[in-house]
Amino acid sequence: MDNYHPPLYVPGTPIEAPKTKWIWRVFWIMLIVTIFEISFAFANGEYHFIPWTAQKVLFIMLTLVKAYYIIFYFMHLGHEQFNFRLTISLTSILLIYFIVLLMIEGDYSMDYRLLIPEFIKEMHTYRPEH
Amino acid sequence: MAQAATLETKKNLWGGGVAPFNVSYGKLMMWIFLLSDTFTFSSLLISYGFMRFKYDDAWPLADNVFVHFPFYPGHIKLAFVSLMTFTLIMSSVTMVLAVEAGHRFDKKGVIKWLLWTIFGGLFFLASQTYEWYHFITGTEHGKAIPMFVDGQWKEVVVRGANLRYNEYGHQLFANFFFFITGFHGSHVFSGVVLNVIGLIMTIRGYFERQGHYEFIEKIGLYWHFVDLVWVFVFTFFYLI
Repeated sequence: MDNYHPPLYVPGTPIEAPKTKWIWRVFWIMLIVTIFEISFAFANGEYHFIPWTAQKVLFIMLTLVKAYYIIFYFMHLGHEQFNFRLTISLTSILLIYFIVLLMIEGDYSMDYRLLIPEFIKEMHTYRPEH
Repeated sequence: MAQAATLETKKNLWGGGVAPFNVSYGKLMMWIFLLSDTFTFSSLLISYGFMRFKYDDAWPLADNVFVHFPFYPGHIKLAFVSLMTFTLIMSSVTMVLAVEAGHRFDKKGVIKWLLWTIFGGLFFLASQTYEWYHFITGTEHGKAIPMFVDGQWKEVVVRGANLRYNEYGHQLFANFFFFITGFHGSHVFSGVVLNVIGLIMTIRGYFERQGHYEFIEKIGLYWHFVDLVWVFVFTFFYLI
């Protein structure tokens, strides 16, 4: 049994005026962030203001900013109960940790792929001299 | 009445008979479904990130691959994908406006904003088709890559990309591109179908009889999730 229900419609009640100011504010924030990302990717590709790795970190952070605005305002999670917010967001935050972890692992994996054949060769030919 | 309900909630939150999270069952289950879908998408994106860093030396830059723009003869970087991102963010905004109109029981507003949302979704799907077409067709001159033909390795000139070869760079790039954007595109498609169902139900006055527009809110959650996934796909595929 579920005693929660949204406020019900009573036929004949006048329709209120729309309150959409906050929606457009969030929209402008997201649009400005996206335009900044694209123009920065374009400009940094031409002139190299900051190194490639720093750009990656910057873009991932900006993406998380946009994700925050979508989830907390558009999906209305910011106005839900605290324990419900925790249920959803804690799981997702652990995923971010996992993404970063496997990127580092992939980078190491490339080093392994490119460098390790010589290393193994060396290991097999290595003879300790007592 | 509301006061009494809160008091009772505090007394015995998980004992049954109340909604502990203060949201209805359907909406809560929508969130749980979206959480499980997050796992699917993040497993795809995480494996993409791993392989992208593992084969960093052979990986094509998306800037140099997706350079086409409709009715523009030359090549222009990042423009079309920005248009796609803008479309999806815009359709997310119209979806919020539809949900907001539903809160005010404004039937005409819901119909108007749902129609815009459906238009945005269809525009996005069409853009994706355009991009897939150009990725599959490839460049004019193509590229010679080693391929195993008739029992021996040969240099074969290939054009475009599919699941067997990729002229732009590492094969995994094409595989991940088709899989991730295809999976996301199928989500957009089912979102459009849900929106059409919601639109028909609104026009037929189903929600006015039911008393609330919560169905629109649920499909709105789904639609925002699709937008959210695209934000991540956009960053990981096109910008990084």
